[in-house]
Amino acid sequence: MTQNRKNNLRLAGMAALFLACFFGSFLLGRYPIHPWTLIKVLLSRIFPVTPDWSSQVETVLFQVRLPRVIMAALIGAGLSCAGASYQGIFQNPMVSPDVLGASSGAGFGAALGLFIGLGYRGVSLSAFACGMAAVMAVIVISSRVRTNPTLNLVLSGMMISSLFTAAVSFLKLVADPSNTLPVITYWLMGSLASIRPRDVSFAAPWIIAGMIPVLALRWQLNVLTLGEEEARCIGVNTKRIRVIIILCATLITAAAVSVSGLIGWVGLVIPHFARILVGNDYRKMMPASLLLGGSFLLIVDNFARLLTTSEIPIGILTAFVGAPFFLYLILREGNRV
Amino acid sequence: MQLKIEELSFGYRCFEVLKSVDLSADSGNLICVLGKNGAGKSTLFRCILGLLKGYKGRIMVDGTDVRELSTKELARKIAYIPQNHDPAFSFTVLDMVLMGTTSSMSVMASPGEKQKTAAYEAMETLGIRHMADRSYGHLSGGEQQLVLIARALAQEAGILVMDEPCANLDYGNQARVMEELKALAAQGYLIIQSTHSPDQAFLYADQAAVLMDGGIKAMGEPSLVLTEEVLKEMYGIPVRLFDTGEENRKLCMPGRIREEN
Repeated sequence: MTQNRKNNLRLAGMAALFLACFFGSFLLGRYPIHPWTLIKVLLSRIFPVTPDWSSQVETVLFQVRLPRVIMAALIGAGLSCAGASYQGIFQNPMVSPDVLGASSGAGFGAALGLFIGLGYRGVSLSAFACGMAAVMAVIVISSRVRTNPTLNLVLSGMMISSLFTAAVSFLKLVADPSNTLPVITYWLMGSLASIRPRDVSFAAPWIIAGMIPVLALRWQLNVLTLGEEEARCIGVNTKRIRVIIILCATLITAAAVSVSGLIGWVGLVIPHFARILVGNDYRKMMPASLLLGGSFLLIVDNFARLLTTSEIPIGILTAFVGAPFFLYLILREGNRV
Repeated sequence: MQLKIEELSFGYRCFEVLKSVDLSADSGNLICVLGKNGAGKSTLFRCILGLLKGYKGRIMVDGTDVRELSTKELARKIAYIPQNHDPAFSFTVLDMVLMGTTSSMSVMASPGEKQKTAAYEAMETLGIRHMADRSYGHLSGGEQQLVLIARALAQEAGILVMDEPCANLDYGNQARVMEELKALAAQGYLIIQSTHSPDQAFLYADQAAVLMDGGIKAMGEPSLVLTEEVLKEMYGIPVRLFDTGEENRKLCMPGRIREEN
């Protein structure tokens, strides 16, 4: 009981942290906005408030900062959610959202879109479609093989991933080094700098649509961590649940990658951190992953836009922060009994 | 509850494991299935549990063919108690037992008060209620096995299937777990387990079944079924049995295998 209460308190703390990060991120940036102005601008959307601020403030807030903050929160939460889901399905805490090729598929889609000169929307769509297609291919291939279903999924995922990675390398090789190549390279690093309202309306519905079933099925995910046969004997339709969870996690990953590029480590580190804080029970661990993931990416994105005069691609920062943090978690865990 | 298996045969690719298994068992019995390595004990259990579907013949629970039942419906009738093992993710004992109640809820739901009551009752039965908040991964092998049995009880199925439940346990824990199983059978569960120890069958089982050459060679009271001849034929070594003086409690010892000069 005490443990249960402690976990609930921790969840409440995470929710508070998330809210603080969310609203705090509005204030930070090249163009400083006073907290009081922020409150007034936000209120003016609901209540009639006489504007005593410049129209520039409103543009910065609603056209640049709001979409960026929303996407940072959603992508952080989404990637963590996808990572936690895959970890449950594969009964392995070392699995990340790109295990089935969603990221490398989406990366290829974007590179292809940039290579043939599609417009902004075209690149997002192409990334999303290729990410989904990569995982579909993995599911179809692995369903053809009998024996251990999880192992087959992971192996097929590795194959498809490396195929797409090779295809991206090929595109880079033949891309025009004076303009297309740098664009592809920059896109693959991952960034939230170019997020505009249109990206929110493109990716947010998919990410949210993917999260809802995963959250609803989190008790079934608990049972799935016992392994295929045990879960089936307990009465879980493992095949169906696994496909639903994989589809949702893929939807989230592909949608996130299609607007932000490759942002690594979040989906691996955050669920791991959540497990340490509230335990392995998905009823608590999944909401914790969402809140921590959202907060984490919001914080890192603030650093990305403030640390140096030009933006640092956020994918680089998450790796710089994520990898050592993960190492710390592993070492810490090793010392715990 | 009654479990009835009729002319069950199953083969992997070109290798036939079960040729024609007939078996009938009723509630209130602890049944030990004996057979040498590769005799098909696990295959038989996997068929009963609905994990293998491509078999010929029929497996029926109270007259219903198990292939007509959904995964969830089958779980309400037959529960599986695996060998204790280190899990990928460790849960509390309460959560572990609660997982057994999954088939009593809708897919989207999480366990509520009703499920918690069932879980606590199951833990009470096995005397492990005080462990509810401990982490399953930190328990000893014997305790883990008791938790897995409690999970099966929380599943509220009448038939419990176990594949060598004592394989990872020390001598004391083997006896503890077997005593609990015997008590559960006396309460009206039908328990089917495989074992490599004829002694376990003598000491705890109501019936022994000998699986040999793809079929049930003999089934009945252990002291009648497990004779020196049958054991020798089954394991391919000389076996000697001793009377303990207590009724139906024999002890088994392997004879010398290597000819000594």
